[in-house]
Amino acid sequence: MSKIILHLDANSYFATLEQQAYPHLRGKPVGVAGKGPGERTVISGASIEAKKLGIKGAMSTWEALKICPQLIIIPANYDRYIFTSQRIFRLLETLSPKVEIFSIDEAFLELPAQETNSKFQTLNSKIISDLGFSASDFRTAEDKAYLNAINVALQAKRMIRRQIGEWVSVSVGISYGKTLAKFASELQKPDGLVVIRPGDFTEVAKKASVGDLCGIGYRLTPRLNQLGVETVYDLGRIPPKTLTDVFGDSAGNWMHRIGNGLDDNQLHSFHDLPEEKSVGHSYTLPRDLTSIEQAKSVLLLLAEKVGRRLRRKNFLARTVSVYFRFGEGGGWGERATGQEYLMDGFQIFQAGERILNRCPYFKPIRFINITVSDLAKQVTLTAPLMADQIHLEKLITAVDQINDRWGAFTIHRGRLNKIRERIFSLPDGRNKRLYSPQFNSFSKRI
Amino acid sequence: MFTPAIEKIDEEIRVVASFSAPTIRIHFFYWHNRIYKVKSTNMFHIATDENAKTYHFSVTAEGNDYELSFNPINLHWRLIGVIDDS
Repeated sequence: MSKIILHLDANSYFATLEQQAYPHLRGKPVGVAGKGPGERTVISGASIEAKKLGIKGAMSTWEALKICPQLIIIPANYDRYIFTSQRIFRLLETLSPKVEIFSIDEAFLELPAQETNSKFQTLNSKIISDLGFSASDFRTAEDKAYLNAINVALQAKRMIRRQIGEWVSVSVGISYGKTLAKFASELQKPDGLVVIRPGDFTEVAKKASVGDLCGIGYRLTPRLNQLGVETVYDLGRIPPKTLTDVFGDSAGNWMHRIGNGLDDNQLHSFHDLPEEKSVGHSYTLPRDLTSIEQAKSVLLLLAEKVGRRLRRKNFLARTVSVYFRFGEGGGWGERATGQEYLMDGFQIFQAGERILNRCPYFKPIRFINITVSDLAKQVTLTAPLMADQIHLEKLITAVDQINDRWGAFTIHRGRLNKIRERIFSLPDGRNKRLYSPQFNSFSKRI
Repeated sequence: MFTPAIEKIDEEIRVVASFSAPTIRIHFFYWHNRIYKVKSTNMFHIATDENAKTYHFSVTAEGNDYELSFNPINLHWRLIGVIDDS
């Protein structure tokens, strides 16, 4: 054994944070929904109390209120969720140097298996028995490493409650691989702590439905059921060739290995991740756009945001991609690579506009995305030589400085005036509706 | 159609707070000629809008939950909203 993996999953994350922020919501069914009243929206997070009443993620608010009329709906506050996630991940980094961020509310921690320091001795027998073990189950050095991992898990829970909030809880799964650690964390919610050691695998696998494994979803499960695979244990009994024939080499081999308790996926610390390869912004419109000019206005706004992000990261980009999804279904998109590297929002927009003009038909648009790729660091490119280019760079830098000081779009292109009042209602992954200082964007529509 | 449980206020308010880096502690706020004594600060986050930061505090005062924001550039406080769980 070379390592122990912990998977931490914050329970009902979005709704729990709202209950932490607003104690009057605690103990009540709460649904977090993406947008304001009257807009197309779904439940993006439900509180533990709401889940007990049958509310699930991705359910429409209309459907959720039908099931649970007393459901309290709170608009999503992504600034809060992202900021708190970053704080939690920083806390976890104090417990292990290797942390992989799996999603906004989930992370893996890796602990070296040989680290059997004296912390485990502080675990009392009640905690051990609560976990379904007895003190005699932890005799070998490997077992003691698991005791140490349990201690780290309890420490993480305490730190999160103390520093993030007393209402915030996490479920922790501890095992020797990522898939099994995640599986373990799902077994007990909320505020769970489940350990699967190598010796526990067979017993757990015989009880676990194959669809409970992360990586085997609702599409694969019925196909595996057809092969006679109901449990994780059954999966390990299927000949590997059958699995690779049906699911391909990669998935088939992985299934065979996990079915036999071989779980050796590596953790990828975010410190080791490569730099981003593209920068994009997209927006799902509250109502379908019915004219090409409206679409261009939104495209310009998104392009300006892309340009600002590029400049902040000192990137330039050469390829621009535009994608539209239509209200009636389907979509259209293309990409174009130019000679010149771009970092100005308007130039990015012009490239996007040229793509848009190539669209062979126009239908009401529900969703717009503009993404730039083929990135290069500004320092690796030749500095501009022509006076107009130098002038443009200076101008953009000055505008950025003013907007950074006084707020986004304090200075903006005249063309954006038409939709200026809607700027704050265009979320870039965060809901600005509640927080825009000047506009009641609930009443605005693009 | 639904009505969100946060009533948006978005009004400038006066606040008595102590700044002791890295923490900001809110003691009272004045809104509509009334003093609200802050019982607890339940949560804090920083909202970043293209580099312009605002500090958000979820507080409980006089039996209700409120969200306040502080702009460190103009030093203005705003009452963003109040929770309405009725």
